[in-house]
Amino acid sequence: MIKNKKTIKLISIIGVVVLLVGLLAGFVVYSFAQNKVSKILTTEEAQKIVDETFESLPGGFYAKGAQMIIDNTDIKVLSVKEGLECNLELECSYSALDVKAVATEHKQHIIDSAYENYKIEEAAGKTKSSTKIRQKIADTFAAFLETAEPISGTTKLYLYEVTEGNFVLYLSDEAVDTCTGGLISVKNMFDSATVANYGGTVFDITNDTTVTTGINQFIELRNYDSEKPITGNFLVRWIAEFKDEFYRNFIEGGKWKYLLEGLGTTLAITGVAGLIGVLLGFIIAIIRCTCQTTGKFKIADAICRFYLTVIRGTPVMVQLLIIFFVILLPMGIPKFTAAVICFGLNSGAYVAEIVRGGIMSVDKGQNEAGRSLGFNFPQTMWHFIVPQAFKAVLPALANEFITLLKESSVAFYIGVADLTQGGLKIRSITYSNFMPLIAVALIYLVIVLILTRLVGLLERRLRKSDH
Amino acid sequence: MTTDTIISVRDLKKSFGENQVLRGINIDIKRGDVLVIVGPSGCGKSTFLRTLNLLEQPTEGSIILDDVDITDKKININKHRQRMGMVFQQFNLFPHMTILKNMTIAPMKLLKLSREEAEKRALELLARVGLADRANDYPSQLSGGQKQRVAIVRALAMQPDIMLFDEPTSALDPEMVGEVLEVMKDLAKSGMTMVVVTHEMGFAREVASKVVFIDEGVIKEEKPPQEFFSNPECPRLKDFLSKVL
Repeated sequence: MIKNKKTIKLISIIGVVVLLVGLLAGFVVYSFAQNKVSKILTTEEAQKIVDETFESLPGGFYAKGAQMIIDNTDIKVLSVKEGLECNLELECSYSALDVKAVATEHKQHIIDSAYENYKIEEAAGKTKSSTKIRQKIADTFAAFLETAEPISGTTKLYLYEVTEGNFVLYLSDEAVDTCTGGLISVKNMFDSATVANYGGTVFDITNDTTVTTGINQFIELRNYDSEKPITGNFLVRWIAEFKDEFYRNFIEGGKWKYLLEGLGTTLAITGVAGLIGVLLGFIIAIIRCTCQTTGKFKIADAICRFYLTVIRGTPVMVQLLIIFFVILLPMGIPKFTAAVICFGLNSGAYVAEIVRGGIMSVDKGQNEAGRSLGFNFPQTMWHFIVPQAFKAVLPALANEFITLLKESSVAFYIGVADLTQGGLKIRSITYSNFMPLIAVALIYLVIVLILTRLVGLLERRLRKSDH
Repeated sequence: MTTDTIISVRDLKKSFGENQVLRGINIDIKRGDVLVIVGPSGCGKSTFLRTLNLLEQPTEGSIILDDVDITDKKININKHRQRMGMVFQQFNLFPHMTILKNMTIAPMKLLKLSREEAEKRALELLARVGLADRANDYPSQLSGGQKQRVAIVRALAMQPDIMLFDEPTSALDPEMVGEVLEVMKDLAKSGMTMVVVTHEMGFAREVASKVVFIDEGVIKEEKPPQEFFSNPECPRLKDFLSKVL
């Protein structure tokens, strides 16, 4: 026993060390893969890149669309459907305007247009209370405004070193194609107008600024001049980088909340689905064992076998997509409930086979002893067979539960904001891969370790009767 | 059929697929009888015992328990099983329950006794077999002989009219056989109707009111013990006795 304990301790220590070394190695590789600024540009060099970029941009063809991007912070309601979550999508330019402010200002207009939109979509002419719908839209909108993040400040022109020694001018740090439109607009402003409205600020180009100085106003020299590159040895740079990455991914803007809320959702899905799975699994296992020993419930047994074949023969992700999009979405059932139902059904099939194995493994004599005392078959099952089977299959059940916890990560395919989704959200904001993904993995790992430990304790308690 | 006949077995047959194990057994068991069944292994004596309370469903024939044919599919066999206690070779105690719980669960759930009553009855019975102090232990903490004594009183807790013993001492270490046989002897003296499948010829000679020799699925000889052992008629029995005695 003592020897055993020592071995377990040793293995855990080795495990933790391997994990830490792995993380460190991962980050080192990751750091090297990043393109570090290798060259400090002088202002003249920067200006040259800016000029060349503007010269190479196409002319008027994009101008109209580009202008729209800059000036038109437009908020459109894409679709509204009664009975489901009101689907309000705000579509707006990425430009320097404060979306939240604009949205608040035009609130009534947006709600009205949403209602118009709804009427068009429901053109079949079902009579529904218009005030009710309006209220619903207004509520959804209000909820949206609650969570919308204000985008404010100025749009910046950035010089980025995309590969070593190769600098490119970008507008803000958005995706390249939209930025090109933005850049064209900037170019147009300086090419053709005397006054430019950019980012809510009016520039008098003729009097106040030339093209060059105008551009200079927008240039914020990131990575050089304005910010000193981090110097020092590899370790110092690495730690600074790590701190910066950590701050950017978790602290800034309270992004850790995505992970926390996601974890809550993951645990809720796993907990409820696990419960459904165990109940369902036991019922199916008992039906199948009853059929096997007494020959009753032939039809129920056939249904169970069909269910087991289908669930165990198809990937859980496909099941999730079918259950949500084909069956539950048209019934207006929200995606969280759909995820719980899907994972519950999925886990039920595996639990059923585990428990059936457990019941079969209980000595036949137990059944005979129960029956010979005068208990009927269900009573014998309930009092004698199932408790022993449960104890026998507990480790396997715990493994199934842990698998369920991990498998629940595919819930993000139907848009459930679980832990994985939380990590992906951070990733989509910061464009970092390492931090959010490793954080998600670590959280899963810690939860699994805690669960394993709890199951160990429970097992020890149950073992009390057979020392 | 006289009124003191408790079980009457008529033309009982049992097959497992092609293999016919019981080929027509006829016997009457009277109240207070201690019927000991012997025979070579594979002769069907255990199967016969297990068909008596329908743990094995007979293929043909009838078992009349106090004027009720319990092989009839329409009757509630669970009610009738309560009247027949059974003791197994492998004890079959419930390992997840204490000794006390093992003994009280059936009286409480099936006879609807209160917990106090059931426990009182259980403790009295345990005291009778000298195990009252082990009431709160689990079966795994007991020796084989102790387990079998508990199994006997667990069956007695249902206050059955008949006790069936299926080779109760075969799985025991030799030094524990005695304590179990002692309990069975006491039980026989108290007037319990017993059907015992065993290889313990001493027990048969001393306690049985009738010894039955089963071979090839039929009763070959059925006599009081003195005659059975001293004057066997059938050559198979002579052969058998020469090997076991």
